[in-house]
Amino acid sequence: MTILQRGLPAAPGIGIGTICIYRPHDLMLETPPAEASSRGVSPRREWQRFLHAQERVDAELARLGESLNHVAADIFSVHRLILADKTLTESIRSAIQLSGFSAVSATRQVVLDMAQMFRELDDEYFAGRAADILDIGRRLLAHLGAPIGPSQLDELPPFTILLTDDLTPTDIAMLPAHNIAGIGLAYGTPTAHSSILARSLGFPLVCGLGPEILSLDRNLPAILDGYQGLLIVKPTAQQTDDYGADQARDLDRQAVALAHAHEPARTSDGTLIPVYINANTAEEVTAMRGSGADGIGLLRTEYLFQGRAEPPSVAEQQAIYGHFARQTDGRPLTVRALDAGGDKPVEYLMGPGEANPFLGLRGIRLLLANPGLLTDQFRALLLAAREQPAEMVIRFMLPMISTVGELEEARTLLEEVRGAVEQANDGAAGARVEIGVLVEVPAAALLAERLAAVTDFLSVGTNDLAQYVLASDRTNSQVAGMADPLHPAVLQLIARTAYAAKIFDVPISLCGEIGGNVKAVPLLLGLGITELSVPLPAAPLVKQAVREADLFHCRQLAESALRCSCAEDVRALLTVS
Amino acid sequence: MTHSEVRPNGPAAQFTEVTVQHPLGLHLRKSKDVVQVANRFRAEITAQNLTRTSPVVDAKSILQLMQIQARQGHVIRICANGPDADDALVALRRLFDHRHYDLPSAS
Repeated sequence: MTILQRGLPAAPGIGIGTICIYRPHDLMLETPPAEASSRGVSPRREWQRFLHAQERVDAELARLGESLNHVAADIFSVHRLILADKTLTESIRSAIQLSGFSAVSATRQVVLDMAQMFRELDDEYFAGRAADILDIGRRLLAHLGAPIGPSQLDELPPFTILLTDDLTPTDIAMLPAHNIAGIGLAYGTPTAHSSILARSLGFPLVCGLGPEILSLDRNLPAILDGYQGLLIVKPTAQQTDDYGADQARDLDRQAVALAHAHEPARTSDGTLIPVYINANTAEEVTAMRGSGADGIGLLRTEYLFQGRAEPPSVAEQQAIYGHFARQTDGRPLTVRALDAGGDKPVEYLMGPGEANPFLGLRGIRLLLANPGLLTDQFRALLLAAREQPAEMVIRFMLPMISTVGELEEARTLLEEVRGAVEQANDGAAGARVEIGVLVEVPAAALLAERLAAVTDFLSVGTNDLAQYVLASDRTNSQVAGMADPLHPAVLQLIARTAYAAKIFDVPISLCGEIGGNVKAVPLLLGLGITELSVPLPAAPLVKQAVREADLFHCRQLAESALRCSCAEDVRALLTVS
Repeated sequence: MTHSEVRPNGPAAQFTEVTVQHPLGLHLRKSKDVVQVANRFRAEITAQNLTRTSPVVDAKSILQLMQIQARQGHVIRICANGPDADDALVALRRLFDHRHYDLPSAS
């Protein structure tokens, strides 16, 4: 019988294949049979067995490192070093020779202890390395013939629908791209780090499918629908045919989209819609031109501030923004001011723990409490802009604005910096830097006209807007599904913000994940959005969706959607149209 | 520049202090470089994160080196004791001085 699991659509596409369950912790949780030295284990023989397994794992890692890209090669060469580390091998040796454990028990115990020691470190990055140690432990145990057959990510068969609880960057580096038809996560959310990474590889991805999926039988036929967020297990012949046709249409559309990726996106009635990308990393900025996108609509800057002892200096930031601005080759660049707090903590900025970090000192609130951060960042951007051509548009976007007063206070600070920089300037013009608001708090959307009057541009951040409108933490997988940007309540606020932008004649972009959903593009245009900023792999498809839209029909669609009473009804409208 | 330190019951150990420059700190790949260089020498080499006042660890073990959780801006004391201690410190210093400023990535 067909089983249908609902989750959250996180990356577009349709995967048709067979289920493979990946349980990273299986091997480690298995309790081995009780052993003692009295049982007559020969320490010498067990130690030889360990050395033999170590040798084979090393060869395996060397092979993997050679067969993949340089990112993976780096990871595996580090894993080889850990494998050979005396701290690890000496502990295993003493567990075998002094305590009389078997090779399997000694390896398991030492690896688990070591991983636990890492998990207890204060620093999140170093604590996260526990996963690397467990990864190596699993390989060793597999070669030692431990009771459970490991499901190795690098050995997946073709057309795999991979189901797992969540994926780490190490996992992702190991995925054999050509064998993955789609990925379903039991937990996770579309805006979580792991989703963003998986999406960059272009796999259909559905999150929050629930832990039930992990107990499905492997090798069952399944379909993963990355548009609607569905996992269909044992589909009917009809479903397989329909989805097969959808998939073929997708591939055709993708081919057309890629062929025209470098052309501007105009609606069928001739309105130009710039399609930008959201960038997290230097790599994505570099890849922007190749994707054919029209610029960068959201450059997140948190990572420049994270994982260090103090904020980067103005000079350091200037060098980085300058580098990014050159990479965009004259296309617009929107830099979001440091958006720390919420789910993006920056160690040295955080005060005492907050009971509700999403409702706490984050975004512009944190910046106004530490105005030096805001002014340094803006100064660095202004200095970087001076080296860019005068016709280039650079935007500085303020996150989490919830009152007009915050915007006014920030603008006053920023204009002072601008005055000082211009005064010190020897007449070199460069690109002008505009200041705008990221509308993601309901209060900002409700008062969008007041904000539009004193800003150069508006951008709607639908991920946070949805979680605030629907009072649902998007990092809590039990309620994240409610924070649906297609909910009519969210759409009402988008429409309201777009209307304000139109009256005051300022550009209005949208930079949430929903912008990358090609089926939602006509609706967003109908609501009055004039620019889209989307995940990098989605840019060509979104451009193609713009070309297939005409604004008259888009507005009719938007009117129908605004009359809906739930997100499901809106989704149904999008599927029909 | 390196310094000497007389230990109560051993020969003089050399040490040097370096500041982590890399935006990601002494992350996996960077630690790997340090460990590989350290292993080329016979001297006993230890590292301590002075900023976090971490324990003193064996710089030839990546598992131990990661435990000092060195981030950008942290000061690390590297101590070497043995016949080629001077050379070891020079080689390790070079790893930290070298500002290979590849742009950081989010992951």
